[in-house]
Amino acid sequence: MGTATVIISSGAIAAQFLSLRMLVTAMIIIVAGALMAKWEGGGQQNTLARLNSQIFIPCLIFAALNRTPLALPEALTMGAGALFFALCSYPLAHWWVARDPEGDQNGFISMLFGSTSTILLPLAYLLFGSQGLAKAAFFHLMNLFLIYTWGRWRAGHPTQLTAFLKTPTLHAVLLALLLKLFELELPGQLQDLLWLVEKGISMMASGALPILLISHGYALYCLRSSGAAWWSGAAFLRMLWLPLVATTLILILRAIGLAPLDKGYDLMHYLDLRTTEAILLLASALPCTISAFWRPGDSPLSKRDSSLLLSSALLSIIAFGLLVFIINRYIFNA
Amino acid sequence: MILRLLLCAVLAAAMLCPPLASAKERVEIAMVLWRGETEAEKGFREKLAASPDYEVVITAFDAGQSKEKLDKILAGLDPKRFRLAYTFGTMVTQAALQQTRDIPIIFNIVQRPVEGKVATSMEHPGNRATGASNLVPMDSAFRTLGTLMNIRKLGFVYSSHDPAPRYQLTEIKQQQKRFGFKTFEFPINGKEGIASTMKQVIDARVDAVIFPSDSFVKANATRIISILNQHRIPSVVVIPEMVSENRALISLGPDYRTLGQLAADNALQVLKGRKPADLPVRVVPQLSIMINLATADRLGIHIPLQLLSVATVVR
Repeated sequence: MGTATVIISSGAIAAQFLSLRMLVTAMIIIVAGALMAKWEGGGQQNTLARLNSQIFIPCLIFAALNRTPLALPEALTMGAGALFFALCSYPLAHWWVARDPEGDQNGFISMLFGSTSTILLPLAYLLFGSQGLAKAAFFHLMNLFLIYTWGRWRAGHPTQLTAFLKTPTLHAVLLALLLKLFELELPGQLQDLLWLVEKGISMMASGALPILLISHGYALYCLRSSGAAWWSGAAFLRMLWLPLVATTLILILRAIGLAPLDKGYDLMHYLDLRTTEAILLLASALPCTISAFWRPGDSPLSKRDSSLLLSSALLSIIAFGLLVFIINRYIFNA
Repeated sequence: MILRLLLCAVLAAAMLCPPLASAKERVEIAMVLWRGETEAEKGFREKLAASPDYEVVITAFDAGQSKEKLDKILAGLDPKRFRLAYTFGTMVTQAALQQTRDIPIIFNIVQRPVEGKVATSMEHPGNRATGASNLVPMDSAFRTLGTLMNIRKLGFVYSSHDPAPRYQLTEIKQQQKRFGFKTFEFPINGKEGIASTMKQVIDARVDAVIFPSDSFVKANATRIISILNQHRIPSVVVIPEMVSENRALISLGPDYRTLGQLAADNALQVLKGRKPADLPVRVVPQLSIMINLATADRLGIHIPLQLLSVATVVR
């Protein structure tokens, strides 16, 4: 019987290759989404968006949260991170809206918030598994809350707190947390049934990844076909600014002792903290949100705002590549 | 002329005699093993060989996983010959404490020294034994597992003859609720019991199997883990060699060579006259992760970046 050759090496290089493979796969799916939109005239955008927000994202988050231990401070850190990003983006958003006094104020929403639902969640899951998704979910929820309240108010629309409370994602998070908090000793048969339901949800959740990325491609095509330009200087500026904001936040978290760099005996605790930082960095590369574009009843986006969205979506793909390299090199191996 | 001759004689004497400061004291250590030498013993030997104060002669006694042979070895240990005894694992250390009297013991790979009554506390062992522990908090092990997959049924496979796994089982059961799974115990009763126990594991349809730091399981790991891999059941271990040598999926545990060096540190202290009772049990500064990528591919498990980035990978 022959013996297999065993090669033992550092996982850091394997991680770089893996992340490259993931990003290339994600890009291929996004391009496929854009091509589908082109062939179908982009008419399925609303259906896809609804599938995402009503079914796939909640299932994905429920499955991840249900069996991932998550401490309250971590959830709060992610929520605070989303708020910090929005606050730091405010001067940029103000400048952007002030440049066009004749136009509407939807630019506030685009500039202040990242598009978490389209690309952060699937990427967090692909790159960092359930642990990453559970953290990204709290960032996403805070982001949604801010869009529905502060964002809409600032853009001159009525706030929609009830709409936020009706969000299936919020229900998925609450249900998962409740199940974790009040884990009951269920009878064996009921446990088996619950497990089957969970398995089904997990299977449905795995379908979320390509759908979310396809949806991203769809959105890109729709924006392009609405006459948006490929390049926007403001999008470029935002893409430079937010990673700096994220880096500052990470340094603050480390300085105040919330994310100490000491590896300690328990490596998993260290990795948990670093994953929080990685998600914050990843979130800084998010394109401008297109939530404003989706809300029925709102005025359609101006050509200038559409260009901002399209350009930021394209730039974000490059930024993701760079940031994942930085995460591997400087966050996990700090 | 006489003066010249005297000077030459002094110089010759100085060249022939080694300097007084570098004189090493010769000491003998008995190394009592359960399943042959591991990386831990290599680390132990390396560190002692580098000692400037002692010329250490180590005599290894391998029990070959036989309790009878172990008893014979321990009965034959001469405290006048051996300044101390190195013991591997909980079972050997417990037996050494019971069956020897005066000889100080330096233990290694004892995961729960306090629960195993080898030490009264980690800081002050309070006995004639001290050494290094391969303690792995079960909370960490489950967090690692949770990063990889969702589990509901967790198999715990261990040797029914080894006392150490029982201490870990208690801790595992304490974590069940928090991580939302149920533990199924699968004790193996000797080599002839492996096949029937593994059949039970497969029939129970567990989502993953966790192995304790168990010498019997390690000695039979290739057979046990290949059965699990065939049935696409992931295996989580605390002995890194089980990933590199026996194709387990992932290990979270201390580096054995470092543990050997830490045990040797304590051994040197004892040789210098300190009492084992006052020397804290050593643990490595941090745990390490080892992942077998070939096994992950076979099982269809995607390894998240955070684990991969800090792990040692085996292809």
